[in-house]
Amino acid sequence: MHLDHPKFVDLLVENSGQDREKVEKQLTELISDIKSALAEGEAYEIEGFGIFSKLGNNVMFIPSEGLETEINYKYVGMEPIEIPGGAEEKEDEPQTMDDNPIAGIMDAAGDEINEDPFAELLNLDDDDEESQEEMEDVEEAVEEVIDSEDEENEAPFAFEEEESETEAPLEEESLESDIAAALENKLQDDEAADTLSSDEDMLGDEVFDGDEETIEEEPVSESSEPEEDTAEIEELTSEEEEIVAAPGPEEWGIEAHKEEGQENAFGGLLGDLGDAEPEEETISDEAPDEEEIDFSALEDEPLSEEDEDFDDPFAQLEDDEPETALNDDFVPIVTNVSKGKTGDKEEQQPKEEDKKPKKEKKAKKKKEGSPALLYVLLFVVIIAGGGYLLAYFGVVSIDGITPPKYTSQPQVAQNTPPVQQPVPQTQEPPAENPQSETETTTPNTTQPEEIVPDQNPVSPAEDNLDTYGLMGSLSQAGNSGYTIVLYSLSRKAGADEQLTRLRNQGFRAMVAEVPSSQYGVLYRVSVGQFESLVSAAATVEENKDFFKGGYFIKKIQ
Amino acid sequence: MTKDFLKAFGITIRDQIIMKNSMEIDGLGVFKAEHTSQRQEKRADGVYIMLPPKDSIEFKSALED
Repeated sequence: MHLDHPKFVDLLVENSGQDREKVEKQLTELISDIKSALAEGEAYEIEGFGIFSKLGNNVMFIPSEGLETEINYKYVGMEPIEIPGGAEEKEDEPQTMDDNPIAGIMDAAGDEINEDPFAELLNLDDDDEESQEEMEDVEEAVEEVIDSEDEENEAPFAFEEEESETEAPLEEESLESDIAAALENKLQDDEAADTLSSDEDMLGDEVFDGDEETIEEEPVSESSEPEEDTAEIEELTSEEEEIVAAPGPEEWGIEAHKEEGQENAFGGLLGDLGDAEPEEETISDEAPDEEEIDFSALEDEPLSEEDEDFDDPFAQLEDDEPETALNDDFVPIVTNVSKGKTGDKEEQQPKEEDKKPKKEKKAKKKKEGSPALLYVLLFVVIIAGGGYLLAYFGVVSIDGITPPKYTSQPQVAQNTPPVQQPVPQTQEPPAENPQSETETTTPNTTQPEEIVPDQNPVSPAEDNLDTYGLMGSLSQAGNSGYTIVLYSLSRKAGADEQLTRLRNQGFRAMVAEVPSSQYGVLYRVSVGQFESLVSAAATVEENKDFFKGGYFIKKIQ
Repeated sequence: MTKDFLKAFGITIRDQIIMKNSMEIDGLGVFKAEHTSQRQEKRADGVYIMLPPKDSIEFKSALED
């Protein structure tokens, strides 16, 4: 739509809300200002609208950024997109939209590219030129379809059609009536969408798929040229009758096979299609004698390439089955090959199953043997270790393992705590040196006072022993044994006092000087001479009341 | 020449351009809407770019000698 100057002024008056005269005056003033500015070689800018500038003799208008944005508000958010494999054909498509007033609306639909060339045509029914082009395309497509139908009728399906006409006449009649009704309905249908869709299909049709689709496409040609095509329709219907008599390989072959039981229903078709396929199908369906020959050949000679193609499944069987199975099982007819396969497999499976249990049994035996030995060894080790520990800790007394037990300590009467000598509670190891024991004993820095044993622990069993014993006098031979230490005193006088007292009570008492780095010299007062640690411990057990104040056993030298 | 007039002048032309109308102003020229459809362009590096559609103002001046 074109607006001339008066209409523009009317709109300007309406938008500005000013008088017409005033508007015209201001418009004239604006134009004169622009002219003067351009005449001076300057640009004239209207804020928010744009710039009028002059480049040479050409006057240019450069719209402002806001004006451009407002004009293109429909396309907001549409950014240039990189197309990895951009089709060169699409470059020409937008140019057809340049003169189209609806092109803007089409483009405003979104980012989608108009991939379907007929989508535009569907929406542009008012455009006569384009519709004429469409009709021409449709006519060309129909001609191509008719040509293809002729070729198809001449080529491999000719034999099939003749057979189908003789074989299924009743079906032909019903199909003819159906197609005639469909044609009448489609003649009344003049929608361009159907023509276009069928046009696309026709262009992509192939030889074997075109039969059924051409029947749908023929109304297209009739819709495009209804008057001229009536004669062609009759011809086409006659052609369709032939085509419908053999509408497709499925119906032809299946029904012929059902009615007559012929195995070669597809023989002619397959024979025309190629040479390799018929061989495979005939092999699978018939000719058992040939397969028997092939199996005999398999036994004696290596397979040729044709045989490998021919007997691929059997080649697999050879790999899987032993030769004896082949000799036994492949004698029957080939129709039982599948059964033979399954039978062989079934026979093999039990064999495999028989083998598996044997292996499992052997494995079980191995597994059962080794764990049993391990369990026995582990049990023995646990028992031995447990017994040793029990003996070591005194639960069970075993000579050589169980250390002497000291359930009581000799009681020592002491008047003052500082003087009192702490008596170690622990048991001395048998091979411990006297000097090292001094360090383990608690030091007594103060002089012990008078120690009075509560009882007289005379053991008659020890009296008879000269070399060893608790009571009696010291023997030189007994110094190689063990003694029971009662006191560790820092003052020698106190040690001598205790020594005298013990000797007066009949004990084999002795005092030993032990150097100590922390407390100087300690004087250990001990009683008895014992051959072994065990005998010393047994003596302590026998005289619990005497030793209840504290003691420890150590080697004399 | 007031600001309101200039504002109304711009709005009037803008609205008509949006409606794809062309306007002729005596002594100044013709304002016409021009539509550029979306199109593909091949860049120098061989990448195809789909350019969005665009509307613009075409001005044919009457001031030219």
